[in-house]
Amino acid sequence: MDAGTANDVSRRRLLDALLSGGILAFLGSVVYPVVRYLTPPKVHEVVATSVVAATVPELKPNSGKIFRFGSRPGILIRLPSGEFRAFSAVCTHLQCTVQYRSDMERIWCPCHNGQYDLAGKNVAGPPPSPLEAYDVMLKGQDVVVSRRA
Amino acid sequence: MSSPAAPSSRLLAWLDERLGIGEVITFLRHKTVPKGGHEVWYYFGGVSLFLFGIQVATGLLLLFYYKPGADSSYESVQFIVTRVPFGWLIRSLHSWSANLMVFAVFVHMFSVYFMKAYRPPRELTWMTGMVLLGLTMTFGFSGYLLPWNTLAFFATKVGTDISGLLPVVGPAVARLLRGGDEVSGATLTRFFGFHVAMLPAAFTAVLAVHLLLIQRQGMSEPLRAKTDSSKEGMPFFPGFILRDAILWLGVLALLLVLCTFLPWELGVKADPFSSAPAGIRPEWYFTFMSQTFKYLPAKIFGIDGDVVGICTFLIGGLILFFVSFLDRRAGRGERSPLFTLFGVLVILFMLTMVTLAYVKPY
Amino acid sequence: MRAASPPIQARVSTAARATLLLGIVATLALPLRPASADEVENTCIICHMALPEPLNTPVEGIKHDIHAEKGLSCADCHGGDPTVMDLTSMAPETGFRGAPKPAEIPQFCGRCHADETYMRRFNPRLPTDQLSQYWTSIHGQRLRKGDTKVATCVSCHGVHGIIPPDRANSPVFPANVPDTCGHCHSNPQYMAEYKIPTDQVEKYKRSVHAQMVLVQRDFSAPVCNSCHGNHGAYPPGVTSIAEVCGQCHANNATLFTKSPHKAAFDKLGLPECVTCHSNHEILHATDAMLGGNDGTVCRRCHQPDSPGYAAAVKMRQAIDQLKDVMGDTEAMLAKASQMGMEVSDEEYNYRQDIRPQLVKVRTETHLADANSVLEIAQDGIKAAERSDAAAKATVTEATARRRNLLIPLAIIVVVMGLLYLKLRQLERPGNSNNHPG
Repeated sequence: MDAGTANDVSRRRLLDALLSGGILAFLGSVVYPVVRYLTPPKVHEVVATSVVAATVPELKPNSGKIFRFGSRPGILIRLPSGEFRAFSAVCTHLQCTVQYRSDMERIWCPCHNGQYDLAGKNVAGPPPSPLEAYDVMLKGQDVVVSRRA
Repeated sequence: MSSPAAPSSRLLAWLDERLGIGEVITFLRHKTVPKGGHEVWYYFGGVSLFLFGIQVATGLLLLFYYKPGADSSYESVQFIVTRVPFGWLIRSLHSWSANLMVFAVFVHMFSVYFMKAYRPPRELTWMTGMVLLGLTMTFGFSGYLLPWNTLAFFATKVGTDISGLLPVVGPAVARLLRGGDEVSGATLTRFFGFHVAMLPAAFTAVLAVHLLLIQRQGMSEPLRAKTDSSKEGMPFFPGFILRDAILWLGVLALLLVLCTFLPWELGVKADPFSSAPAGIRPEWYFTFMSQTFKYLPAKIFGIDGDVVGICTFLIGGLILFFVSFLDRRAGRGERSPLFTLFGVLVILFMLTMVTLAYVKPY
Repeated sequence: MRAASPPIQARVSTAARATLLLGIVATLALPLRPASADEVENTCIICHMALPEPLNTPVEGIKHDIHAEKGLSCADCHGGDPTVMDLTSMAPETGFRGAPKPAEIPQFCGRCHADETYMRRFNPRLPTDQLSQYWTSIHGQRLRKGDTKVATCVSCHGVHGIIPPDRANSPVFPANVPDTCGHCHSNPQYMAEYKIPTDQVEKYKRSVHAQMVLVQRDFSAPVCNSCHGNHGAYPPGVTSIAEVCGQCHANNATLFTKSPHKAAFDKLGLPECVTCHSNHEILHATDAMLGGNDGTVCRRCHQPDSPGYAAAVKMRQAIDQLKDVMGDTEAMLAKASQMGMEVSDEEYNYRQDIRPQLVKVRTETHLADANSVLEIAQDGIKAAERSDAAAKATVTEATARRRNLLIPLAIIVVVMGLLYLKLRQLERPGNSNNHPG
């Protein structure tokens, strides 16, 4: 047995070294995803409940803008008086996306000529119910829209 | 093992001075595993433990981003799966490993059962094991609801309805589980508390007892293998441990393949006001029960069919739980074909019901 | 009202006999009447209740009549004296008007309904122009010329048992209007002399509008009177159809009016929207209606070598191209989903983005300008391509995951192998590490 011992020892050392290396590599392949996972992603959290819809100077009085709210479109309007209001932009008739008509001072749906007044109430055409209203808050120059509690 | 005067043995000496771990190491060196051709079954306990470890690790990681609540559960899981780097992997690992763990625990339980390893002096080991089985299934049941998707919501409804069938305590248990009369956000909060706090604490405690008992008593030998007692057992360290490690790595590889090619679905967000999808059933490890209830007649000997069903399951469970005391013949070292038959029938019943649930899900 | 007492079967042959009978009935009925200080004794009801058909039918109907609800009774329309229990209740001195003849019915109802001062008492917002509108209608005009077959107020509203139009059991409730009009207009024998079609209601019931009203109960969709007018019912003239349809389909009407089709159709006397979409059997418009193939509406007029034909072909091609890109996008989304990627957000965004684009491009065809249609189709294509890119990114990610899996898998397999070798080494006989102890 002695003749093979030296070989055995070197083979054992090699195996040990390879094994250590392999285990290190394995640990690395575990640690790497964990570290990446724990690093905060760019979008910090999913907030379906509030969004910056526009900046104050962006919207002139008597104009409107469509923005993404959660997974649905919303419409932000600025009244002639300067006040901001926001509603769901999904028409309550057949779910087309509404738009703001400054000539009518109404929210208008191009699909079947439905009209909502500036409080979101359905006032003309097919829509059977008002647009869902959202809360609007001004944070500095940002217009923040959030779902009503 | 380690060459003399290596840094590791100096470290061990330092620790031994303070913790007395020398005894532990000596014990481990002496620990053997019986050889008799049944070794393969011995691995399932270790696999279950490994998978539990994966669950704890991935569960902890998920906790960093998961937000319990009817308005945020689904969205936060969606966030994890779509926006967090490797979030998809952690989530799928957690879901797949949960299923594999339940499977492994069942195999472990049945292999121990058929080898009659529950016989004295291992009654406590067996009973703590049964408790761990129950806790594992409770982990699965509570965790399943947390993504708050349609399947989970209605599966929980079915499950809590079944728990409500228990005689006397049924409705109270159901209310306790649900946090009310219906499955709702309250149920979600409650299940979250069970899943991340109560159950891990209970499981760890019972597991510690279970493992301690095994270490103290050594591995049981199956009755038939008694004839081979002349053979030396396999040393636990390094033989069994290395085999464990190889197997665990293999299980991990399997998990990785499953997560990459069959990632766990997100589903559709639960809507309590919509009607249940057709053929709704709980997760596979509960379907043997839910499918049975589909076949029970309305009344059996004047008693509500469902109540008879759940009592039968209860009695079956109790027989299994107390089998250490019931199987006198095994206790004496004799063969006990009756109990073997009971086990075979249970397995056949469960397999039949699960198959039916998936092949004929009305 | 009072409980009906069993009718006395008797033939009224002379006035005297009638008076005698009335006397008997009145005597018998007296003790049965519950005494009430507020109740006005309505002798019309008391007598007519006991008469044979058809004289007793008004009594039953009037119970549910809106006029009775408002406190009006027989005498308010028919005149007469409801307090007298004999035939003098119907004497001319009492102002008794009797039952009007068909030609007199509009005036009969209009006596109140066209009187703003009177109607203000009951409902200040109720219009009072029904009578004047009626005279402008085909029905009114023919009635004046002596045709008593045409509809008058009672034909549609009923007579003794008139229910307001906003209640679901009214014959002029929107969902019931087609059948009410169809009562005459779908009857070929009745309409034989008028030489107009009698299949309007049948055709209407196959339309999308009928689907909305009759099935979905969405009353924003039109029924007969929405397009033809209520009391001034007269089919819209050929040149004004776009205006009528444009009440709801505003964009389509505006574009059509700006298109070369308007002038051409008017010159040829072709009804505007109806020429392509039909008037009563308005089905869901499809892309198959557009283009140069046989079976399209364009082909009906435009010859294959004409500029109109070329424009039609171009417009159809633009829409088809958009639909091709949409198909590619949807296939990519399906592939991503099948590979296990989470694409519910991308799918939702795609549908939200593409739907208005599709509506826009199909609406734009009414301008009959191939270039503007192409432009809008390009916008749609860009929207579809955005979604396609998002889906493709997830497919790339899924493929990358599968590829990158090899790295940890390789490491694991290698370590497993090394561990196995280590195991073999440790368990080789003669190796000192093998023995316990």
